[in-house]
Amino acid sequence: MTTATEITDTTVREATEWLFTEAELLDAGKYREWLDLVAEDLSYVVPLRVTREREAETDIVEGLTLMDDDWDSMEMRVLRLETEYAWAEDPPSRSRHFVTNIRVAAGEAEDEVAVKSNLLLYRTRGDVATFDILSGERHDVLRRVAGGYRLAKRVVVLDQTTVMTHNLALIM
Amino acid sequence: MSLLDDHVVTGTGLVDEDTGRGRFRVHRCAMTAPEVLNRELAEIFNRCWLYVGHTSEVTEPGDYVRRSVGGRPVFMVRARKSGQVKVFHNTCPHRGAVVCRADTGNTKIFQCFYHAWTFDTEGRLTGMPGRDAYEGGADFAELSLREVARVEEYRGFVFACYDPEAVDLVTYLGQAREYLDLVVDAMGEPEIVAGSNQYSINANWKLLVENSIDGYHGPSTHDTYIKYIVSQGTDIRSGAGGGNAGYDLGNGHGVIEYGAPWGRPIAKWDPLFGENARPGMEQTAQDLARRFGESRGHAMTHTNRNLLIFPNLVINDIMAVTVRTLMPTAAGHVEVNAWQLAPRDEAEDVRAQRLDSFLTFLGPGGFATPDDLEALESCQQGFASGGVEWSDISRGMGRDRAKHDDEEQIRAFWRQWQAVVEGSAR
Repeated sequence: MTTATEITDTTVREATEWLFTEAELLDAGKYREWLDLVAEDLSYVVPLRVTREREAETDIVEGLTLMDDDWDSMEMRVLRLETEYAWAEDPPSRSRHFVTNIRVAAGEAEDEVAVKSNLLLYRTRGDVATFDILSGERHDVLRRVAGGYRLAKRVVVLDQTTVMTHNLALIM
Repeated sequence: MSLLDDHVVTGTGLVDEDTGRGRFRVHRCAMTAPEVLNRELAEIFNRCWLYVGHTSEVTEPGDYVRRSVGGRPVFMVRARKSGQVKVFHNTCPHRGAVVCRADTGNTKIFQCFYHAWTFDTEGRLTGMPGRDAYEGGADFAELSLREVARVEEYRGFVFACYDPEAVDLVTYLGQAREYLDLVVDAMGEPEIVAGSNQYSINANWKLLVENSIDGYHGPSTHDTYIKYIVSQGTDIRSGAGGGNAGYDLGNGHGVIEYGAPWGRPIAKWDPLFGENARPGMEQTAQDLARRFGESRGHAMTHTNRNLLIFPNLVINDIMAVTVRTLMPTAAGHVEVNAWQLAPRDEAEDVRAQRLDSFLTFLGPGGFATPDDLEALESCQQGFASGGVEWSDISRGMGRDRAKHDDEEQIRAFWRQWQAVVEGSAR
C-alpha cells in the first residue's frame, strides 16, 4: 500500500535545505559530492520549448530535448570535468544558483516528495564583461533515504527557446 | 586605402592557393571584417540555395513552420487546396507586419492582425475589412502573399533561393545529391523529429563550416567523448578500415567519409542500443545490402559522413543524423539550428538511443559540441591578436586521394566561397 507523504513543516524545511545545499555544491564546483545526492535511477531532462499561439495546449516539445541524462551520463559528466580535456569548462565558468519559490507537495510514492522551485542561474567566464542568465522552473522528485534525500528526477523548464548561454555543460 | 582594405571591400584575394608549393591559406579578415559579411549577405545568402525545412514537418494540409532563412523571416506551409509545399516571405503585402507569428502549427488562414487582411494557405488574399474602399481597381493578386523567388525540393529537403536567375536545385546540388540519397535511402521514409536545438556561437560562421567537415580535430578536441562511449561498451576499433576519405563535390559542397567508430542507429549495432534492438538492426543491414548492393548498403549502415551543402547546410550522418543550419548575424557571431532526421517507422528503443546519442555528442550540453564551440570561439579570439594574417588549410594537398582528416573538403568550400564572394561564380 502506498500512501502519499503528509507534507509537514519539517518536510518543507528539509527539502528547502536540500536544494540550498545542492546549489552550494554546484556553485563551488563540488560535483563529486553532488553526485552523492543523486539517486541511481536519476532522470534529468531539459525539454525544448517553442513559440505557439496562446490557445495551444503546451509550448513544450514532445520529441527532441536539450538534455536527457541518467546517472551514468551524469557520472561521466563529472568524470569529464575532472579530466584535463573538458575544454568547454576549463577554465570553468563562475556560476550562482538562485533558488526561490519552493513548493513542496506529496510525491507519487510514499518515500518521495515533489518539489517545484524557480531557478535563476547567473554565469560568467573569463574576463568577458557580460554575463549569461538562465531562468527556469525545476520540477524535482526527492526520495527520502537514510540520512537525507536523493534527487530521483529533475525536469528543468527553461524560459527560452534559444539557448542563451555559452553551453549547457553545467548542472541546473 | 591599403591593398588589404581593397581586398576586404571587393572580397577578392582572400583565398590564396599555391599548388606548386602545396600551400592553401585564407586571410583571417574573411572571418573578422564586417565588409566581408556584407558581401556574403549580398552574394551568398541572397543568391545561393538555402535549406528551409523538410516536407515531413508539414505533412497535413495547413501545417506550417516558421523559419529564418538567410537571415530573413519566412514560413513554409502545406497549402490546403494544391497540396504543394510553399515558402512565403513573412510579411503582409499591405503594410509589412509578419503574418505567421508562431513557430509551428496548423491553420486554414494566415491573418495579419494589423488591418486584418486574410490570406489562404495558397497565399491568396481572401479578405479585408472595408473591401469597397478598394473599388478603384486594386489588384488583389498583386496583394497576395509573396512566395520566395525559387522553391524546390530534393527528396524531402526543401530549399529556397532569393535569386530568380539561379540554376535549378538539382544542378546546384550536383554530386552532393548522391550523399543525400545515401541518407534518405537508408531510412526509407525519413522524418524530422519535433523540435530543434538553437544556440549561438561568438565566432565567424565559416569556422563552424570548417569544423563540421573537419576530421582532423576529433582525437584532440573530443577525447572525453571517445572515453565516454568506450566506457559504455563501444568498440572504437570497429571503425578501422572504413575507407576514410575527403571529397570536393563541386559547387562548394564537400564531404568526409570514415568508418564509424561508434554505433549507427540505422544498422550498426552497439551495446548502447541494448540486446533487444540487435536482431532488428542486423536484419535492416541485410535488407539494405540486398536492396542496394553490398558496397552501398555497407556505406549506409557502417560509414559516417559529414556533408556540407554550400553555403550553410550541414548533414552529419554519424551516431545520429543531424541537419544543421548556420547563419551569421555579425562577423563574429553565428546562430545555429540543429534538427534530427530519423526513419518514420523506427523502433521505439532505437529512436530513444538515437536521440540520446545526438544529445551526448551534439547537444548544447553534450560531451563534444561544447568543446567545438570553445575551439571556434578561441579561434575568433586568437584572430584579434593579429601578427598572423593567414590561416593554413594545406593539410593533405600533396596526396592523390585526400583522407577524411585532410582538408581537401574544406578547401572545396573556400574555393567556391572566394568565387561567389568576388562575383566570379556568376
